[in-house]
Amino acid sequence: MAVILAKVNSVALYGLEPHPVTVEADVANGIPVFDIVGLPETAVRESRERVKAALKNAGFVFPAKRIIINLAPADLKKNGTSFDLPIALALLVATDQISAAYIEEQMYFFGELSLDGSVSAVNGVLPMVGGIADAEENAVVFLPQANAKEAALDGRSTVYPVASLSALADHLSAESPVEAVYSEESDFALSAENTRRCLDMKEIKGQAQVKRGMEIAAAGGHNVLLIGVPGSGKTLLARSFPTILPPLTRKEALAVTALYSLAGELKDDFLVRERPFRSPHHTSSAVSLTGGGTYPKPGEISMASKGVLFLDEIVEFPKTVLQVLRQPLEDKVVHISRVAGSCRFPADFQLIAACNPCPCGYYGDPDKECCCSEQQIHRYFNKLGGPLLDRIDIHMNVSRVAFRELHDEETAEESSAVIRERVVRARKTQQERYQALDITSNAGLDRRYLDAFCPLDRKTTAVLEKVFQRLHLSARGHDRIIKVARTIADLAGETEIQSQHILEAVQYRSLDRI
Amino acid sequence: MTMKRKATGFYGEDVAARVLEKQGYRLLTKNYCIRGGEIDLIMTKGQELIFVEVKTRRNACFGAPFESITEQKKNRMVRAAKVYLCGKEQQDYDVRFFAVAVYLDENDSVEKTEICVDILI
Repeated sequence: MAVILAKVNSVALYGLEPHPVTVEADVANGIPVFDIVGLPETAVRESRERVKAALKNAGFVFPAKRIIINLAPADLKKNGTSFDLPIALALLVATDQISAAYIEEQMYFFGELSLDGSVSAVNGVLPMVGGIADAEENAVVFLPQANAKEAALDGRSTVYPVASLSALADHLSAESPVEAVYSEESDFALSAENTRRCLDMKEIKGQAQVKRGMEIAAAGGHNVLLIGVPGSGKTLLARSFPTILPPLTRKEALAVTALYSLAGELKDDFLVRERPFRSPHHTSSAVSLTGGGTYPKPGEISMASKGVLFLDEIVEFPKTVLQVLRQPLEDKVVHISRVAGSCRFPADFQLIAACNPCPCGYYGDPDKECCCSEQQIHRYFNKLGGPLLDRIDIHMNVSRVAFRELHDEETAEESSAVIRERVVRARKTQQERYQALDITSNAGLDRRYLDAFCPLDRKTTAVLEKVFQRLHLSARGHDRIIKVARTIADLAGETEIQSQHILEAVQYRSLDRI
Repeated sequence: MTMKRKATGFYGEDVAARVLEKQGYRLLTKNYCIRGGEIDLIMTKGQELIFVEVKTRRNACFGAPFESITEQKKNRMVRAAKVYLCGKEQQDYDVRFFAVAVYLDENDSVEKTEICVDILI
């Protein structure tokens, strides 16, 4: 076995950020060792055993020599199983079992090895391939067969699926070449229907006012708080919310897919085709919401990006957990800093929260008496805290559905598809209006833009003033009402906000009215 | 250690050395011993330099021979090998670690021998 220094390109991920890595192998005489250097973490260290077994079982020779594998740059911590394939390949090249002439500069390799020499799927393929394409214009990427379709979505590199180590060797030596995988237009088919556990709006009886509120929230990207007695349908309404959101755009779908790929939640399909709907339980920790870990993984708020984060029984969440939502709600990204480095994940989600009107759950219910003291109720809502409530534009009371509404077969409820059409139209109006700005929907409007985009005529101002004084509104509440009124006007197709829009918007500030 | 057991060990080492000599290896040192490690046989063939641990068994009461070569034993071998290689250029040698099992029957005649190559990898 002639001995050569081998170099194979691969890529490492830190968060969503890709870093090119060169895997170097040196095989020398001396006391046999197999060492991996270059700050490998546990999963990379363990790849020694996988590589050893995979080489033997794929019919190659594992040399009993001094083998040093270096993962350059050596100061970047390496994690995950995707280095198995480049390590094995570098070893094969170093021992001349695969000719070094076959390995070209623009070739990149990653994949996990199974003990029998087959290559299994890894996480984070889409961001890795994206990183490779950024670094190398005509990159050729060899990756696990199971990830090939996902990798092809990027479309800038040539993607070859690798079934096993021996198949890769045969391909490189041109003995039995593998066909490259390309994405087809049909691969990008996005689903407008939300099939996942989500209910069509027409299945929900009654609740006309709340449904209208949901429509406004969907149209303007507003966060929602639903307050209602147990069993009034808060959860049902929240679950049907994704069905009235506009379908994902291709760009959004790819961004969401990258996150799901990184988190290893891309099991059934290689592309996320529907808006995410995440509902973490109220026992979730702050880190599980924001994301984190030594090698940062996206949390629930990032997984809900471009979709809905539903916090049922929001008051039951620990206060510390709720308060971490404040910054991401404002910035639409979450920054995670760890010893190993810092990274950012998108957190562009719409918050739907639900809670009871009081600890016992029946405050304001016409039939059942509430047994809470005023102080208890006060304390209950205090848990949410002003700053968080501040970021929720729409509060709605959800009352119980009457028996006759449940059994009303005559009035047909509007289906989600019909509502979605109006929502899409209103969103389009907003996108055109905010073209030049960094915001996309009315929810993003702040003080700076309010006067420019939401001018009120004299009559409307007078109405708002009356409401302001009657309800003792704060400046903040005042701005929220104008924002929601803007969305209502957009839904109605009006360019100017009118007094009836303001009056309707006031309906969605139920907590201000308490 | 009784004389009997020690004698069995030496006998096994002789047997192992003969078996390896038949494969073309030349014996360099026997029972190379330093503080913290020892090697039963050191042999050579061309560029190859092999360090051999010999395990002799009369019966299976104490388990299979190769079973008793633990990580600790391997470390002791490596330590001794490093000392042996001191002053020699490591790169010049294709260093390998072997284990040889020698099975004896009741009359102390050789039943069979087994060679395990490259025990470190």
